[in-house]
Amino acid sequence: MSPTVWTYLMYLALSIAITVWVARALHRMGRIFLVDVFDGNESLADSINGLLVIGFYLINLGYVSVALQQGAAPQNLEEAIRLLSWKVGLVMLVLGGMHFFNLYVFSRIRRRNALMKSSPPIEPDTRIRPATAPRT
Amino acid sequence: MKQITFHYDAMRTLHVHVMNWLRTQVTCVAVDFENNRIDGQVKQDVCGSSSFWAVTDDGNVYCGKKAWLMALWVTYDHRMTALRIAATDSLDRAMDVCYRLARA
Repeated sequence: MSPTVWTYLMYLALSIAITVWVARALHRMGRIFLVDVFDGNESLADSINGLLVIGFYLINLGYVSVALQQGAAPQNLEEAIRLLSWKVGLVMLVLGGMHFFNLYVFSRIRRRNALMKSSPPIEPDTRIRPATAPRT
Repeated sequence: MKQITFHYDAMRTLHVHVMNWLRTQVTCVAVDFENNRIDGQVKQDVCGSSSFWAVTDDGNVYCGKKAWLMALWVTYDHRMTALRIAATDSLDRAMDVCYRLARA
């Protein structure tokens, strides 16, 4: 087996393993965060969680696939290890970037929800008896 | 609070301008409008000399600059601005901010 094929196979195995591990970890640990973001609506949170994992797999495996051909073919073991390290490192950086982007988006949604539920920031000047029954 | 009614003076350009703007905004609670000027006179039974006030469905009354702040607070896009104004204790700015947004 040539160093190039060996590098590609190792790259695919490592990248897919890391992607699956991260996706499962995010799916498991992100659920409680999503339930909070979506105001305790567990079925919506589970649905979004599942859709996010699908998107996560598509983007990352797509990137792994596209990035496979990048870089010069290694001529010896040293070059193969260097190329493998570079490629797997890039995959991990992409995964990290996506992870923090997701966190940023959801923390914004969470903050927005809290803002929408906030009480008026000032005390009323006075109170009167409500003229009509509150709307439901 | 589920609903708020803004009482304004229909003879004052600023009030009309801001109320028209508020009608175009996405709001977090139901918003109603009521003209205070009846037969040429402004109703002044709730907030004394102030011709602009807001009454919520649970009976809270906000007069003058507090009502202007509530006009910002009920909007989806400008609630954060209202909180910032309230936090910095600069209620006097609320009316200016409403007017500036209405003119934009």
